[in-house]
This record gives sequence, C-alpha cells and structure tokens, in this order.
Amino acid sequence: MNFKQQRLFVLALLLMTLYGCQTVKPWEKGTLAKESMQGDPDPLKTALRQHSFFSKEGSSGWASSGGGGCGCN
Amino acid sequence: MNARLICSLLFTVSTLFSQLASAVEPGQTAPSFEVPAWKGETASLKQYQGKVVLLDFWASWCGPCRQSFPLFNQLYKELKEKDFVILAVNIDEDQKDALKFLEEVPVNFAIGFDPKGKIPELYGLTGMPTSYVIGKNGKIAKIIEGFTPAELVTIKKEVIQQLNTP
Repeated sequence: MNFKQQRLFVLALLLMTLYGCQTVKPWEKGTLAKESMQGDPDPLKTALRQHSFFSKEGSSGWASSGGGGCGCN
Repeated sequence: MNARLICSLLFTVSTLFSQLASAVEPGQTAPSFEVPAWKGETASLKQYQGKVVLLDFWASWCGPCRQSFPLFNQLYKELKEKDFVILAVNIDEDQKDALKFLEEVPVNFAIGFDPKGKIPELYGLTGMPTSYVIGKNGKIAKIIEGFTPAELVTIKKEVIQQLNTP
C-alpha cells in the first residue's frame, strides 16, 4: 500500500465514523432534557458560588469583579 | 485524487446529513393515525371526521406545554359545544412521565400516547410543541410551531374560521 492509498484508507475510515452522527429529532429530546444531562445541573448555585469566589479572589475574572471579600458587590 | 472520488465523497456526506422525513404543509390532508388513549381506548383522526381538530404534540419535558394546556382547557371549554375537539398526542418514551405531568396539569380534552414517536415522524415535526389546526374537510389549515400565550389568539381565530367554514 503506497502513501496515497494509505491516506485514502484513513479518509474512508474517518468518513465511516460519520455514520455514528445522528440528528436528534425534536420529539427525541426527552433524555437530553433531563437535569442530569445539563452541563450545569444547578445554574443558581453555580452563579452564587462564582459570585463569592470571584469576589474573594479579587482577581479579574469573566464572571464578576473583585471586592472586599464579603461577596456583596 | 480524481473528480469522481471527490463527488462520491461529497455524496456520502450529503446523504448522511439529509433530512429524510418531509414535513406536512397547510392545505394537505392530515395523515391519519390511531394511538392508544386513556384506559385502553384508542384515539384516531378518523373518529373526529367532520370536526375541527386541534392536534397538539407534547411531552412532559416540554416547557411551553405547561403554559399551553391550561389555555387549551379554556379554549375547549368555550368551543366544545361546537364541532371542535382537541387531541394532544404525548411523545414521552415513558408514559409515567406523561401521567405525572397530567396530574400536575389536568386537562379536559383527549390525550393520546405515541412513545415511539411514529406520528411526529409522519408529520415531519420540526420543533416541540407543534399544533395543527385541522379543518372539517380533514385538511391542515394552520401549523403553529412553539407556543407562547399570544399564540392562543391565532389558534382560536383559525379554529373559529374553520368552524364557520361549511
């Protein structure tokens, strides 16, 4: 098998993996809608934690601005 | 790499991502179906022949359905004396989820169960929830994708128009 054939073989293999791709139909999203499937299962808790974390850290972050440490700004 | 190979690769990729099901459109005859309903009964479009039908696809995980059902209850209460019915087809894989939802949001109209999603496939649904106003002649008069309380005005207007159509 020469180099060109090897490349073609790899390309064919890669294309075959695309068969694993499936479009989730609108009525098949029941499992995806579950809380356990969310990237962040508790957004409120995360927001609260991040607020106090960034405030205490005093670092310039993407989520909040630094403060005195009380988490109240 | 020759052109033939490129063409065959493109064809393979395009077929992989193509949508096979085609959606029904207003003016077309609503595809007929039969689904299990409450207590071993069945619900079908055929049994509502000659009536205006609001066919709604819903699921327990569908947020807007929680808003639409109380409003559908009201609409059905207002118009049930006329030739109007609502058939809400549930597509939850587990019927228990649907029953729990119905305990929280009780309804006064017909419910059908299609856990395998064959009917939405047949109708080519593009989003959840989707409602179809079907005229007395069995043809689809209007398709409403998604739901906001303001949509009820559109639905009611269409239903009344269909009821007044001989």
